[in-house]
Amino acid sequence: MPEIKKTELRMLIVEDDFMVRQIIRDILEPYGTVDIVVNGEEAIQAFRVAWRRQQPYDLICMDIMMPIMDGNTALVAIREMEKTLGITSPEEVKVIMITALDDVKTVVKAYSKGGATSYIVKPIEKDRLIGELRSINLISS
Amino acid sequence: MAKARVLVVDDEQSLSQLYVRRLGKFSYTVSQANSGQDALDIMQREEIEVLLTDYKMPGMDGVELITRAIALSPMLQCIVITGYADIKTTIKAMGAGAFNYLQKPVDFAELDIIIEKGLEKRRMLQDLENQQRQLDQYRRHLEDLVLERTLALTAANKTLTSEIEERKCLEGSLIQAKIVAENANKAKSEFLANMSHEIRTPMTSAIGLLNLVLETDLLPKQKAYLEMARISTVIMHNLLNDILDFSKIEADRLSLESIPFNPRAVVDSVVDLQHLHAEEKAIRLSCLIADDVPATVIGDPNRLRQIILNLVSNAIKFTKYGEVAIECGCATEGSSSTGRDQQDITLQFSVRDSGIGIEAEKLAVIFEAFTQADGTITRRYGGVGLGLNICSKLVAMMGGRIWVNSQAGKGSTFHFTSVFAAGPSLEKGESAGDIKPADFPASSPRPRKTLSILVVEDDEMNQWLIHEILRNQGYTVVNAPDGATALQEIENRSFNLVFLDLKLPRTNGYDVARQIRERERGDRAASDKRLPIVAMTGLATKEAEQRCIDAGMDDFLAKPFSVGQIIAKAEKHAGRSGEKRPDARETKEAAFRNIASLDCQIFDEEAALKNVSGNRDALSVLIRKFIQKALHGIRIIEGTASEETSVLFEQEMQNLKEMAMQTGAIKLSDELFCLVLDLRNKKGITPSHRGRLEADLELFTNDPRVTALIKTGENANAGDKKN
Repeated sequence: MPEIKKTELRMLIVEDDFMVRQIIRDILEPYGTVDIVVNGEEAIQAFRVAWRRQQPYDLICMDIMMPIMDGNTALVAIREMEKTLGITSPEEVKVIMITALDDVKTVVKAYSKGGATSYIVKPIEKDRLIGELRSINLISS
Repeated sequence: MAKARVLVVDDEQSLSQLYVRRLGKFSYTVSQANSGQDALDIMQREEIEVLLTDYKMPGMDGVELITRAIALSPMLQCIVITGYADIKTTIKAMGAGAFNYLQKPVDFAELDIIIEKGLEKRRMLQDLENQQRQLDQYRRHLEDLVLERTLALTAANKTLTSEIEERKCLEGSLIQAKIVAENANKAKSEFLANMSHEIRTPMTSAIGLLNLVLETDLLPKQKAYLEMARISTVIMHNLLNDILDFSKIEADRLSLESIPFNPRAVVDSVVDLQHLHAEEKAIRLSCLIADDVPATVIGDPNRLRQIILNLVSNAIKFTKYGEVAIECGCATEGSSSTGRDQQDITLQFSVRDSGIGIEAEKLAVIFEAFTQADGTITRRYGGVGLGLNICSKLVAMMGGRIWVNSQAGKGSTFHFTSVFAAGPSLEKGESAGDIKPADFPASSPRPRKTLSILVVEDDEMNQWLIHEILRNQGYTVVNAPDGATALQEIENRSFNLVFLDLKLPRTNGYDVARQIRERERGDRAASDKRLPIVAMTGLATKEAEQRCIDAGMDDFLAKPFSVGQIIAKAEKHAGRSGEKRPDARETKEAAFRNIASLDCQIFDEEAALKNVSGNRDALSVLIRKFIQKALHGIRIIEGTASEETSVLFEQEMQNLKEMAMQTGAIKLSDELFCLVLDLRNKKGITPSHRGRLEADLELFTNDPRVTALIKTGENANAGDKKN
């Protein structure tokens, strides 16, 4: 059951795998609006467009391994844009990186270089993803 | 002994007969010949020992006869009879080989002595020759023997050489085979690792989708079938993980983490996961953790959980009635005895069941790969027999050992030890909850503090560790790998606290601290908010601490530090700075005013040129094509009612958006992207879409750089046509 919404969240899913995209969308949709893009390059554009429409995202769920541009590169670019906009850390978009079980090193990179907020491991489980949203305080418990 | 034979040669028969007569008195047989040729003929027929010849003979003279006779029989003793005082002849005869001479008139007594001497000489010569022959024989025999031995040795040598060669060849092919086998094994592991990863991706989708379907309204039957399907996918997923782990260990690609965690929490999480399975089989699942087990140790919680989970799920799998008990305590087999650091902690875990047990002779093989105690078990209980092998390898990597006590029919107890680094020590009054370490990977919710901390640390692992600890406390954490980045971050955002490593690449921590203070002095507005800086260093001396204070730092944290220490420092300092943070809405408002600073040019010539490798003519063509397409696109949009949008239309807009990006029409591309996103969210087309698209396209076509490019293209075209 969807919980009491803190606010209507604006969310972006960045994932090249159709199935995973669908699963995350189904989990997140009760909490607000969800945009979907398929690679890091589109993620950057989506981020920029959202700000221009004065509807910035509250959450980005981004796969690390993607074609054209990977998630870590896109994350760095997004943080760079936030700096340009004068967004400071508490107001930064929360970014949950999606990862396969075995690339801890890449996750470490996402944290240290890109400033990821959190990460979850595939297979995506509803409870865990929702728990993560709660722990980064996007939804109230 | 046969009588010696003497041949007398003289052309005067009377004389030779006289010789025969006179010599016959002596002890030898005498023959006679009348000429040299006659003598040679006789010698062909019989053996003559002494030749007595006259010198002067018609035809062949004595000297020639001697020469030829000696050639015929080398042992022949020749005596020549010459005329009186014929010294020259004598010398000639002696030169031809005669051994003595007599002068006429012959004194027979003297002749006899000479003949005797000749015979004696011949005998001596013969003896000598015999001895020589014998010697030769011996020599030859010896030579033969030596040759024989040499041959034998050569043959033996050859055999040895070929044997060595054969061995070498064999060794070579063995090494080759070994390399091939190892490569094949590695390739197999790599293949397995890659394949499992590839298979796992769709599998995770399947699990996720099944989970979602199961939450919808379903008929009981559908629910049951889907639940079975879900369980199958989960089992398959676990198998894949096992194979992946196994092949990673085989390919040396598995590494352990080093993060602080609570061993109790790990055991609890296993109980949480397994108690349902135990309940289903009416097995009691109990868990006993000794009081001396520390609340925090440093190691790999995921791998530890994996080992315990494997043992517990095995125990439940092989138990029909009774109980499964997990125990955990500090190992008594002292860590000191193994010579490890005193700070290390060895924990011993055991999992006891009342299941089918393992027969004594099978105990030795159960930790090997692809083995289960009984082949039929695979059919009855499932599994591929990798779990225990992975466990034993992981335990070994964690510096421990794994063993089992079991009795068939009565149950088994699996024990293992693993070595961890000590976590922070608890002070009295401090509850374990306060410094509960990072619960990895899922973090527990914490009261949110909108305080942000900058961590300046170049070591990625440390950086991540501190990040995790602070993030779990609800802080917002920003990392900087070096001094320059740190200063930049401080410029851009406001922080409540800085953790500053003193050993950094390029600028050291002292200088970074000094620069932060200098900037604060320079910035009047910031003069009242002094940013707290906590130094982190491996050098825990009074002098180092003083140096930190001198450089303008506030506190000091000695490495290696505990989770509790970090949290304590964060709480002590981050809360202290009473700076009023700008409120979230203000920040956002400011950002909206700032949007122009985002890179969304009408025409990004530089980027566009890069896309066509700097070719202006190509860009001109691209721009003209794009404008055409965009006009066409806008016409389609105008002709499409909002509810008529199709996937095809969405794809067309998506393509146009990408082309706009390619052409450097960033603003237009963004606008198209808005449309695409709205289409994807089924929001449909609005008049404002059309309006903004038209406006942006006009801005683009009217950009002087774009018109210039279009013109160059047209001129070039016109030029081409003229030519």
